[in-house]
Amino acid sequence: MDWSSSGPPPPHALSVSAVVSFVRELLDSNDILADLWVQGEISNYTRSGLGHRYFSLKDERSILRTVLFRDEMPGMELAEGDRVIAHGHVGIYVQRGELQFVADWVQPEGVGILAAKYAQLKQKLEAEGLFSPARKRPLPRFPRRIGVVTSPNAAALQDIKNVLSRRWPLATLILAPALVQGAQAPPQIVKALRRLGKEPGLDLAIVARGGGSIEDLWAFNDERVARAIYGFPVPVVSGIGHETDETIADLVADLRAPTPSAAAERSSPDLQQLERAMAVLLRTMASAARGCIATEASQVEGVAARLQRGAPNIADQRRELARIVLAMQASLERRCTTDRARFENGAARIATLDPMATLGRGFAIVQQASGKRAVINSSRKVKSGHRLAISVADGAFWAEVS
Amino acid sequence: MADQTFEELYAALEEKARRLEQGNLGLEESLKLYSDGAAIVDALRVILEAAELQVKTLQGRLEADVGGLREVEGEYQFDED
Repeated sequence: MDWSSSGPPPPHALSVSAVVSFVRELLDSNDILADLWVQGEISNYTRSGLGHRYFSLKDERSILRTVLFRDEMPGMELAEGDRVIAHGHVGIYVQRGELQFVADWVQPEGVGILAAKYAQLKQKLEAEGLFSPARKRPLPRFPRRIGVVTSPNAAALQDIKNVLSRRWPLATLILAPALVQGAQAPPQIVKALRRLGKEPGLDLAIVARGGGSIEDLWAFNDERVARAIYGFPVPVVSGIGHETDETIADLVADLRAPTPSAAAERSSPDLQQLERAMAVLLRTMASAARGCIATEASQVEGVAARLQRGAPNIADQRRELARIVLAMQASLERRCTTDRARFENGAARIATLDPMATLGRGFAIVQQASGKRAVINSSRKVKSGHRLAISVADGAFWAEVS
Repeated sequence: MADQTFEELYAALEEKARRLEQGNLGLEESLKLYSDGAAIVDALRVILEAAELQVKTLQGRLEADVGGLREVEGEYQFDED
């Protein structure tokens, strides 16, 4: 037998490329290898000229060559010896026929696998726009049919019922029951949402569950649940866990409430507030109507006033009369005062001419003591030794001229 | 008013209030708007007084997709997937 001849290859021999391609296809089509988390230690870390990072993830027995491309996790600092959790897919690097783990997310091991998964999914969905504020739909003001996805046997449903009964009993609550914890929860929640989405006349939906650990709430971090909420035909309000819990479902929802009760509150108007609002509206309308009446009334009054001005006014005329009387009295008063003044003036002057008044001032009347008692008004009328009668104000006496 | 929803009635009330506040209305029209508004408020109060929360539960398998509602008492039994 001639082993050295080079004839055609035996029929069952494959080319190298074919074999490698085949293995690659096997790996690519495997669900687990297409999407997995790997935990290990970084070794042989290098960074290529283009910025891609190459390292081995290793444990005690094996290594897995890993590449983290430049555009993935650009700010991430990695170092030899770091213990990490990484997400990605496993494939074959065809040119070298090597097993390769293509990572898209790397996180220090200490963070915990759940937190790492959460961060990774959050970033992915955010990049797709599922959390975009622009797409958050406004809630209807008076929702008549409210869907609820939650466990039928837990407190969250009862809380929601209580809140709606108190605030907005007009509503019809449509429950789409689902498990809210465990591996079966995400498909059930998705199914419940799908059923609810087909309900005619639905105004909004509440997705709710009570408080719990991150593991308990994990169903609401499921990608399938997130996409079902995003695609729901009417607004979705989330009320999951307690105030400080944040889930992917909360981020996708049109409105996020801290608890199931709060979700019911934010979804509904309040009876008492409505009553107050109606009372205010009615009061405003009443005062506006009164304003119209007042305007009309003042117009009527204006016309009446014009009519009145044309007619004689008794009161006015009486006033006029009184005014005239007062004027006459005043004028009379003034005249009397003037006359009295004149009279008194005259009387005063007369008084000064009165001889008695003159005597009062110290003058005396000198007369002959005998005969006709002629008044002596000149010194020539007397001689020495003449006897005189002197009259003063209060009497008289004889005097002899010396 | 009997067949109008709460939402429709409330919207009508707000519309009447808006027109009254704008002013420039005759006396008769203002009085009519006000009394209509008062009648709506009465009707709304009647609706609110009488209201009671209704709760219905979706039942049945997804495939059947009946979309019907039934009152469900007691523990809910989940479908086997």
